[in-house]
Amino acid sequence: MVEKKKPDSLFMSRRDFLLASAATGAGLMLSSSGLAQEPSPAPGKNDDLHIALIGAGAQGRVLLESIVRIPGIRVQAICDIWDYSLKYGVNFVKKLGHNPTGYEDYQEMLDKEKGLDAAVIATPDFMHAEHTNACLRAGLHVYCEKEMSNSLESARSMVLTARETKKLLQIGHQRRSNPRYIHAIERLVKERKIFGRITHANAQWNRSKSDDLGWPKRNTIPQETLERYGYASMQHFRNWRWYRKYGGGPIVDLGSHQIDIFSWVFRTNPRSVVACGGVDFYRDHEWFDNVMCIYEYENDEGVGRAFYQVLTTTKHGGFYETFMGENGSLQISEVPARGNSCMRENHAPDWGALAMEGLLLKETAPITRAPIKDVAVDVRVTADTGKWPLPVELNKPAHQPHLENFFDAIRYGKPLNCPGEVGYETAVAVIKVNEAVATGQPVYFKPEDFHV
Amino acid sequence: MKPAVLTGLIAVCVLAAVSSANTKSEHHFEWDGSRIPPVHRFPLFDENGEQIVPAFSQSLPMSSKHTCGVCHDYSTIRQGWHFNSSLGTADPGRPGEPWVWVDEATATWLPLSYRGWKGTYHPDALGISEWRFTQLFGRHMPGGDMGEPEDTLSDPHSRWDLSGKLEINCLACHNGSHEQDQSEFAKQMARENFRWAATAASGLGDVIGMATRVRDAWTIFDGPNPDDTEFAVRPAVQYHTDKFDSKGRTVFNVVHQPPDRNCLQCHSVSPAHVGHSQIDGDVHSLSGMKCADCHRNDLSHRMVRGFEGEELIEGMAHAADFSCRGCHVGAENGTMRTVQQGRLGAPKPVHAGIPPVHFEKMACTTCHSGPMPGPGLTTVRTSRINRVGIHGRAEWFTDEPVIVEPVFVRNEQGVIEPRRMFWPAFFGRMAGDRVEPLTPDMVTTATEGILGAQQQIGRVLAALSATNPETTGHPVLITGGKALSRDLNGRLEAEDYRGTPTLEENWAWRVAEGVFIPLLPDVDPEGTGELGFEAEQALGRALDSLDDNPETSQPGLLYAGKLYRMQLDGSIVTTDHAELKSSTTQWVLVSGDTVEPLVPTENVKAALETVGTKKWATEEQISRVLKRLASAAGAKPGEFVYVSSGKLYRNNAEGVLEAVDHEAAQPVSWAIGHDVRPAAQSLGAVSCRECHDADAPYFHSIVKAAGPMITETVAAAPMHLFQSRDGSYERLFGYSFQWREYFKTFLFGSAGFLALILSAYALVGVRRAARYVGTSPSSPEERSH
Repeated sequence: MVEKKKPDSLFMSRRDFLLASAATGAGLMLSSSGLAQEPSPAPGKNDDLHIALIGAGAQGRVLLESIVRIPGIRVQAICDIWDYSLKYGVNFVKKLGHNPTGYEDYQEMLDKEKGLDAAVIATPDFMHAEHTNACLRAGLHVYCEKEMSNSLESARSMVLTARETKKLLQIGHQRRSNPRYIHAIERLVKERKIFGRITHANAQWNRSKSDDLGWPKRNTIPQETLERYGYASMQHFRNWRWYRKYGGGPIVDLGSHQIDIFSWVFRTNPRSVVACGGVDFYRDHEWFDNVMCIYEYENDEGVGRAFYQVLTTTKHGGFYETFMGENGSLQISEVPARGNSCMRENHAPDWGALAMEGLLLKETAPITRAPIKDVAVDVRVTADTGKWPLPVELNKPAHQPHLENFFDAIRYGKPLNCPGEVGYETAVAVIKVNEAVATGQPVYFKPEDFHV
Repeated sequence: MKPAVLTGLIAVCVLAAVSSANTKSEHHFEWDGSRIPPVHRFPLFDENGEQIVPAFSQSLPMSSKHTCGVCHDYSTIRQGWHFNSSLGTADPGRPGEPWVWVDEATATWLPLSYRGWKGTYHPDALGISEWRFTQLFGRHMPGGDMGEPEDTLSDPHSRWDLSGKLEINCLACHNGSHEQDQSEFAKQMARENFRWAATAASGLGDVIGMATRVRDAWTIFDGPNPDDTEFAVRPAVQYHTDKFDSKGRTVFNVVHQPPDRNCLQCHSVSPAHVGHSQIDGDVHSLSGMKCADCHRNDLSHRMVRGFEGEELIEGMAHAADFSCRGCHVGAENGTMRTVQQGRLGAPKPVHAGIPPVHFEKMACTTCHSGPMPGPGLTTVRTSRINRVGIHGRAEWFTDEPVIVEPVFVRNEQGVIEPRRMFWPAFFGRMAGDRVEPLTPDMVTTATEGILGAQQQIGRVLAALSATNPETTGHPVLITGGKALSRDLNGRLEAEDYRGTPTLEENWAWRVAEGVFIPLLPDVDPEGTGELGFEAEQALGRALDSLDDNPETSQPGLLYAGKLYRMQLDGSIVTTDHAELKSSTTQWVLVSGDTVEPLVPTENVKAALETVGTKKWATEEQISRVLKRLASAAGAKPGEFVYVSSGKLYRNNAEGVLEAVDHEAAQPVSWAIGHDVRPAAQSLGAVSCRECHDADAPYFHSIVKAAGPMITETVAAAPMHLFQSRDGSYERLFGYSFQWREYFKTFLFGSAGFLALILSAYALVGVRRAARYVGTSPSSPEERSH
């Protein structure tokens, strides 16, 4: 019998790093191979954070992919009412040296697991408040996926519980921690004001039509279990985003990310929104499958308007946000290929100096194809002529910086980039769109609507 | 209840369960006797055991375990020869063809086998997980085995949850349809679509998407990513619904005996660079026999491999029937003849005049299989090692490693047999006297920037192609009297350079055959020592294209004592630089205060040496890699070496590569069984001197090792050494055959002469006897006289 040797390398790979990081529980083990990961403070063993994940579905595992890349984070428990997701979640981190215990019932997990520092919650929206409040009261800091809830009352309770327990509550609007967004909005829009006054914004999230999610029949959750946890059926459990009881529909699931950015750029919450939409394509779905809306913002520079659309029957244009000012525009997206550049108005001051400072990359030049023999044609998508690309790259999964911000807040007291209060403001702005669609009437916001 | 009674009851239950299981198992082995192949019309089932609805867009791929396994016991089949190498449950038997990890970037030809065959390395011992092994060799794997591990968590690099396990691909062998497509299977395996590969290859549906591109924590029930329908598209199958009836059933064209073409997907061997029409093939195949006529198995899939003595292994008595001797001579067990000769119409061998010693010391294949030995060996390609048989838009096959045949080798049983042979090549670390191979995954960082010199130059040439977009032609590197240009595979082509001397040792533009111009147009049209406008425009485009690693270095141009670089805003900045005052241009990489050529000089030299050859590295490059390995941060202690061409290479005290002999560099070989030649074309059929002669290739041709490194110091040995024979004796013995006809004539002449003398004496004796009889009184009358 040949003894199995652990995969060995003279030079460390990314996954070796993940493994070593998880196995030692600490330490940033960089090697000469160079790791595509920015150095961050290397905590000692005592800085390890023990976390639980509640909700190991698709979004929960997306968060796990980021969590396992962060040094010093130990996944101690995973909770999901569906054995299929639970198994995959547990196996995914076990491979990397974590050894979590799996639970169906979060309450049992909180009762049994000792030494937890924080919980990451990625359950359907309608359970966020219950899970978050229970974890906060159990003494855990909480990272909760957006939307905070599908009811503003529940969302408000989360903020209040966090205040009461003096625990941290971070809401998962991950663009708030994305260095590309921070650079574009904090440096270029606000500090350097290279676009001048922002007068308009335009954003969209269009995605192709898709079938309802299925499930392996042998992994069907018993009906009594589903009902115990608040689900009417397996169909509802798997496709909860389309049903009013559990979530807020596409405008909340998708629009929330981008409408949150509107407030960030305009530095205020909206004063009104008009919207239209409907259940026009999918049968048996409860939530609007297409929504278009216009927000009005008013700040010390004047009024700005922002158009937003979410379509679920076409991928045309994908998802991005555009901010248009008097001197130029910014088009940005979480996926750089969809938006990562600035456009200068002809009358605007020259941006060459900004490029020399490293705030922008040099203006892209037209690229023509060389009629050459045997040389591979460069098929990369090149930026259009006249655009100034952003110089900041994110070489991590999109959610990682936001989670790092949360963990750094626990360890070092750094401010949260999206605390519960900010998340609540966005929830108000977004959830009210459904009301505007349903009534066909504008919704006018008062400043106190956004306060808890 | 008393404990004893309880224990008894439990025992009875357990026995009943076992008995029931055995009954079921035996039932599955049983053939009902019908020779009519049953129609295989049934629905497909997925890996969850759920019936597949072909029209449903989220249907999963077919699972052989749950589809074929309904009638054919999957767990039994999984113990079969093709699926059990990693299980350790089967005797390894006669060494067969190993898996070889071929990697150009690290100049590696690493032989691997789970069966422990001589000269191969066990993947587990090298840290190659089941996942990695399946990634590397899944293109030709039949499924099961290491592709279906029980423990999917041991390798943190693995993505079994995404790829799915590689179940046994029953249709790879048993599909009688011409739609069975091994190339499609290989493509899906390259995409890590393991669970989809068999379905795609069968032609039952089209598979889209790539598991390689899907994020780590995706599962098949997460559904497609509605935001990305172009790049990270999850694997999915769309069944061809026209192949299914209204009940979701399809008709499989399943055959009991796999057609030869299915076997040959993985077992083809052919001479390299020889036309298909030049190949005679195997006499058995030509006479109408199929692979499965001899290589038989029952449900257990314990395949008859067909070598002598196989019947003694694992009690496979019937294996004796299918060796060469079994069919052509018959087999005996003690005094009992168990197999009558002539099975399957096998002709009875005559072997007239051949001394019996040949049949004791040589395998039948020595005279009958593979190519006839000649002055040189035949280079062949095999399906699994050289990736033959995978067709598509790209050429998948490789000529490396170099495999030669026939090499006549004395095997472990002391019998000489013809073999295929190749020499391993890999970087390794000395552990005492042993060499521990380093896999490509372990050394790829160390070889980066040193090996692959041709590709490095090729990348620069591709970037420089932006320099003159309006001009026909392409960029070249002129060096050493050659103009190097990039080919479609990213390697280089060379042509002799006979242009102007001012372009020598520089990057230039090839406009037409023999016509070269400077890369930058009109560098200094006004003679001021400054770049002209057009040259500066072209320079900007080139610097932009070359700037692919701005964090570590920046491209630049040296001209007339000035260094031209691109600034962040895209403008060209000029600084004085004392290095180059001449009017020639020199492309450089600037890193801090360091200015170096675009491609290190030693890499240009290496590219010049290797261009146009099948070699991947020079001695100088290997020496540099060994030095880098030794100095790598975190490297474990121990001397680093390189094995290739039958030698072990190490840096001596002066840092120069030197070669020594070592066990680890010994060739790996395995027996040739096929391409059997008929009796009239067998070795020795024409003359004994085909082997027994002063320079007969059988004993005296030189077997010269091959490897990916250019070197003069390669292992070379005459064939008789592989047979443990004395070369001088065989040469003398061979000489004797030159005089053997005369000797026979003399011998027969002498014998005849002796016979004549003896006959003469005999005649004299007869005459005397007759005379004696005639003179003595024999009758009363005569006596009365």
